[in-house]
Amino acid sequence: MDLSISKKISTIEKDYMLDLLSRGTRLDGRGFLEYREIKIDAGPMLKAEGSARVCIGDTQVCCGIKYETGTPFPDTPNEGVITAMAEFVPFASPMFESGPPDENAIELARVVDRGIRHSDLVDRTRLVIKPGEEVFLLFVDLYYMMHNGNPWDTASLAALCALKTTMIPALKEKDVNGKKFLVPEGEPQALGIQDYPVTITFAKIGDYIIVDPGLMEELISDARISYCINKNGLITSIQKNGSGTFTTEELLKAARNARDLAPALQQRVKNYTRDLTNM
Amino acid sequence: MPLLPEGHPEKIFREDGLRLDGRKPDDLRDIRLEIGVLKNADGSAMICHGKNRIIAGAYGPREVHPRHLAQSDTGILQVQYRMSTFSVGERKTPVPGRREKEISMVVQHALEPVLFLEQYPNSTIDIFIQVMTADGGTRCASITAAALALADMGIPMRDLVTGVAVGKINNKPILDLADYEDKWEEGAADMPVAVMMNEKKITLLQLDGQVSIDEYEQMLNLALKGAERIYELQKEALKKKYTSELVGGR
Repeated sequence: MDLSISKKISTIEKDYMLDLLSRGTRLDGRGFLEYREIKIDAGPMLKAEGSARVCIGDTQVCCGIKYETGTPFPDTPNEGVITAMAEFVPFASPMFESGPPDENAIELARVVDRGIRHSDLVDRTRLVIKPGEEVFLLFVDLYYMMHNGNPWDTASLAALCALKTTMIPALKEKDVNGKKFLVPEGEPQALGIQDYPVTITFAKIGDYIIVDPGLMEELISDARISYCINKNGLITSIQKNGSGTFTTEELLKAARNARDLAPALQQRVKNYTRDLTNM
Repeated sequence: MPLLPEGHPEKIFREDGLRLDGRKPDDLRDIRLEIGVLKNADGSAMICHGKNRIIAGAYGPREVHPRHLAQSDTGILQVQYRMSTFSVGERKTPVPGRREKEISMVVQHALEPVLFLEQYPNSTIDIFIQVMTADGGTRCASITAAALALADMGIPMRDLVTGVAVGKINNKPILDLADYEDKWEEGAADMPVAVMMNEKKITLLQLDGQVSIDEYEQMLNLALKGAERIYELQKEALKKKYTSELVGGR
């Protein structure tokens, strides 16, 4: 399921879109730097340790957090491990097929992963059970439920909101019938996040650069650029996607726009609490 | 060091004879059905059944991929049932296991009888089922939701299909086993059933545990009783969606 090839766009559609862009507007009437409506709730993930369902327009990603325990990496013996996984559920689009995660799903997971990794989002030292021996392995599992353009920003918001609401218990060693187990002790505590790294994606169509591409815009675009911006306005990761090119001026302009757009998205994460009633 | 597996409750019935969640033996859990929950799918539905949260999306009839699966004299139904990693207590690996493959197949067989597949040679109808939270009886709830997704798609059907699990605990027949009841082992049996309610035809039947013929008969009757109530909810959900469309809703 190559997202850019499997649906062919006609020249007429492309010309129509370019014509709209030349007049300063888009298919759905948005401005170039305007997001679609963003909705965030806890979603139907009742058994996850933290969760969020994020819709940007008709694009939807569900994220649930789960933990396991295991040994830390040898070079970071006093830190827990966080990994992101993304799955494109085949009902998300008629273009998707079932099967193991393909390169697009893996790229999505890695874009989210890098956003988390390079911004000290989670204090990993809090994920240690026994230094050097036993740590929490935290899984950020993303399910792409409705494909209508820009999975990157949607998934990154979902991951951030899910992590923000994650509760993990303290684990203590216990002997049960002569075998050693880890047993939760006391009430789970909020893991907490220390930063708000949000991903902001632009698509390039002709010479126009627009934020939060819808499906049609994404399919027509030559290239996409995703900036992850943290609470201090620093870029914490970048991913260029697609075979088109950007000039340095275009890249810098998009980066400044991303920095200006970030606070509004970060505020949405700050406001988010996980409410499972009515879910 | 492994995490201690989740424990079982010490008893399964309360002092007053009711089940731990306060249900009588022939009570269903709360069920909510919602149709048209996915924007891109040709048909979709979500079922909230107890704590189960399951989404089904359907596409078709459409071209078969890979092509060699196509049949020149009939259409085919393809079903994929998957559990999300966070749908259960301890994280499930994202790699589909034997259980998911088997359930995909039995759900396919449970739904095929209501479709007129011979009308769509060389084509496929695809149903994708994603369990977001599992709470016992997911294959039955999946069938209930998948039948609604098919109906939402607007293709002709002989009937809906309704799934419900019955079982036996401490040798008492009970309806609609919850997760903790499913895991109980004493005098226990678990029997998922799917029915085409109009003609009371069974389209899925499995059993895990030991039962006498008499108990089997009791359990089948109990299943029909439960399915009848769920069937009403299914019809209500469909009517609700289409009346709201008529008056300019969704």
